[in-house]
Amino acid sequence: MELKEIVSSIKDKSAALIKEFELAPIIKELEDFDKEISARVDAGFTKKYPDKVKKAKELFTYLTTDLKPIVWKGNLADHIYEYKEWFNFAYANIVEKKLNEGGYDPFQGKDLWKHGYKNVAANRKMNAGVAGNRLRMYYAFSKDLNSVIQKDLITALTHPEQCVLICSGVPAEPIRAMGLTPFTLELVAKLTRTEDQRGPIKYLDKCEEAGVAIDTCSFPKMQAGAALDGQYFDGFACAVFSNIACDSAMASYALIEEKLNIPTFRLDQPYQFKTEQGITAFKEELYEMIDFIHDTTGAEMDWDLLAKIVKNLNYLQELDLERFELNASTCPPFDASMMIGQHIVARHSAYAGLEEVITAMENQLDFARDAYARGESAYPNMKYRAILWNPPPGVYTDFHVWAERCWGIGILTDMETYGFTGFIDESSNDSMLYGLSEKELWGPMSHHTRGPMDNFFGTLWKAVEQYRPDLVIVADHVGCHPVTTIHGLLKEECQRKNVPLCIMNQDLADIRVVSKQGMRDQINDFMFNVMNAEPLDPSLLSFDDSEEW
Amino acid sequence: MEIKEGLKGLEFFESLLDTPQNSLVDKAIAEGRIPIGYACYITPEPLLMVDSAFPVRLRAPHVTDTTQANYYMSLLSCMCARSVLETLIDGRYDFLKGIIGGGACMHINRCIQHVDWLDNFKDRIADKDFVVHTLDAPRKNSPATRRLFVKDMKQAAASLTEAFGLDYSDESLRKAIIDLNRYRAALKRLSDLRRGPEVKITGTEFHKVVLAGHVAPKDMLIEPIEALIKEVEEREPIQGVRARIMITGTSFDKPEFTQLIEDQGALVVADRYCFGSIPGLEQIPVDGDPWENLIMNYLDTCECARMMENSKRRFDQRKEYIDYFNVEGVVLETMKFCDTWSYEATMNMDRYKDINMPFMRLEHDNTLATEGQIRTRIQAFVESIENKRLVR
Repeated sequence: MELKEIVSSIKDKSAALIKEFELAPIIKELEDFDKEISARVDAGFTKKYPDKVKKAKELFTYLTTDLKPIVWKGNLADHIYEYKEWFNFAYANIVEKKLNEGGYDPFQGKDLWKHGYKNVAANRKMNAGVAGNRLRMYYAFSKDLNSVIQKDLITALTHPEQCVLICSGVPAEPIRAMGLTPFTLELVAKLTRTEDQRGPIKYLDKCEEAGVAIDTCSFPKMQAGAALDGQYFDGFACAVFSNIACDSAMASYALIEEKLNIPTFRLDQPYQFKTEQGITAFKEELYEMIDFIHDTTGAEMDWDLLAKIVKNLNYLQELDLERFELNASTCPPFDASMMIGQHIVARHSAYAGLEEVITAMENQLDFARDAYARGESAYPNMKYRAILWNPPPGVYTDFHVWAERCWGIGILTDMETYGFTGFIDESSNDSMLYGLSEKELWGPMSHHTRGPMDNFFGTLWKAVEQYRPDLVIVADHVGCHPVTTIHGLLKEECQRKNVPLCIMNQDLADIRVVSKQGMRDQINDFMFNVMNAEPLDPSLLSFDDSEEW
Repeated sequence: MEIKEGLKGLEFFESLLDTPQNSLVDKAIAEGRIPIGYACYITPEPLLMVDSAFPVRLRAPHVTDTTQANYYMSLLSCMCARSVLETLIDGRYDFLKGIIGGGACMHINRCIQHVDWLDNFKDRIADKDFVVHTLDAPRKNSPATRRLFVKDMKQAAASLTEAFGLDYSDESLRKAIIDLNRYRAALKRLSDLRRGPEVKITGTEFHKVVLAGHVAPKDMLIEPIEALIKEVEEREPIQGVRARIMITGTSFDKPEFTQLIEDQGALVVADRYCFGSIPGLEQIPVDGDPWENLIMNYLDTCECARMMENSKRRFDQRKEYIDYFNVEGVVLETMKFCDTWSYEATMNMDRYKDINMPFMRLEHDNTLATEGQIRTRIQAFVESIENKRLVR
């Protein structure tokens, strides 16, 4: 089926389904509720309309998850707002079920993407307990981003020959400028973990059953396991992988390449990637990459389109720098869910430099500027300013919400956000590729976990200087060897600089290694014993969410 | 396996392995030569053989406890790298005048990066009496990466020239290549004695000779190797060999391990591991630009899984070694926490199955802590090879 037909078919069917399940009246009521109660206190409303609230809660519970203390936003209006945002994308839940019953499977039988498509907008976990302006700020960003993620997913489903499979550290901009769609391997990781804390386990097990050691990093292992499980779409034009993220990722791509059996190009990140000669070498590699893609697909580089994307990137850099500055203030308008990851999305992901991302960032920044002007912090009860270093706990996406509500810890920035802060020279094709090289080499994780140790410490101290944290939390992924191998120096350097350091063991993708409560226990121990702190909400020190999604 | 008599000449090589500052290192230092430490195959040895310099490969003889290194590098890291760091901290490499790392993998990189912080080195570095440089060794062989590698090697050379007055002219480097070629030719003659049906040198004995070549000036070893070759040729063939084995994989610098395998009746005829001789016996071209020749040789021949493009090609080379040395079974050894080799070994398991070659996967931590288990597994593996031979 052509894309247009699929979309039209979904729209037709969803209208029928809404009728079939009698959702229209409830949707109408919810929309009315939102308008009516947006400025009102919840308690009065619940008393006045107990049946309607009950019905809304039942529907919400059915379609989402049980309301638990950490999830409750404190008022129904925000739940209804979020439900509406989610429903706009999540109606595909129902649609897809009906489509399957009709025998049509747009996802080629690949479970991962079915769930992923449903959950690509399921940011509820990240906003567990989050309400008000902060909640709307988050969805102001995610709405536009999710549309482009879904567009790319549909292209991969229907026209994989137009897609180039890439990994972290491969600049997507030249690929887009060649009229192709970069499809990122890491989407596997993001989708499986968002859906369920146990989501990655089946892919990890698959990879380990094949023989990969249990102590290798679970993040690329999850991707390799998904490849072994046949979850990647057939028919990608080619693949471009790099060694930017780490040795483990680099090695996993060899296994993925062998499994998918498609033409593959490798980008080599130098050790000294901050030097002019290192960046130049990578730039030369990018020229070779462009030639490879052309030879494989016939696609031509549109340098004008690349120039437009680069211009967007530079504009996004301006917006990013403003975000960094706002959040370094005493009234940070962004919480961790808005800082962590969005820098990557805007400037290092497969969606970097796209118009939709600009719209998303601008929308969110408008909210942020207003909030800042009003003196409205994303963390109204913040007692401790914190920086999160190392990749954030991947299977505990609402960790920052717990930290805030239990201890008043406001996470202001993280390592993956604190990357390239320069601009790309737009004056020539060569200067653009040089700038893109430099940007990519400073990409998430790479400039901290690769190369000389100064890459790790240098940026950490810059972040400490800008954000003046009361503590640094290192989310110490047990499979991350570049960081576990500098534990000793990390402790010594933080002692020397008098920066309280909490090393919190976690596993990026495997909840069996350290549970969510296990992570909370480590923070609790640190806050009690090192910071001599008292919790804001002792009921959140320990609770059982081992069966939660 | 039955060996009628030991090799007298081997004692000399064994004596060089007990401690990093062995008798030949001392002799060379007394002669005014400059010892430069290095890690990993991808560091081109001739770079450290110019003029009065000589390379000393970092290893950790007799280290089983890495308490200090565990603090710095945590328990969740390669034991080889940690052992080397422990040895550096202990001062057993204080005799070195520099360390040139190969940028090989993150574990060994981090190990060497600690040198800047260690008390026994940091002042010397500040006083320019000790040179530390991690080479920007590429992970693929392409025009762009070769250009970068040459540039970076020349920068390392410039640092060594500034500190110690070493001559890095083309002529000097070419001479170093010739010297290495001479050593490699001698070692290859010894290696090839393992090819035929009647083998007169065990894998353990050969391992010790190869190791010695990593930790002592190579020019001082050529005559002892020639003498050893004569002794081996006159020896009675080894009897009772139950299986001809190739060991392939990661860092494997303990001859005790090879001994453990051979005690079960297997004969190690091919050593495709780090600290082994494969690769490392090829002749490097002498004509033309010596810098280009050097990097082409090392990038082309490096069989570490860190080279991201060449997994299939590496396996094809294994098949050549299997034919060359008449191998009957392969031990795929990997170091615990080694990410690159974990995936490589996983893919190779299927490949060995495809060519019907018996193999055994062995993960270790560079110590003999699990000696009993390894022994049992090797025994079973050797038996399986014998059974397969019977069936054929």
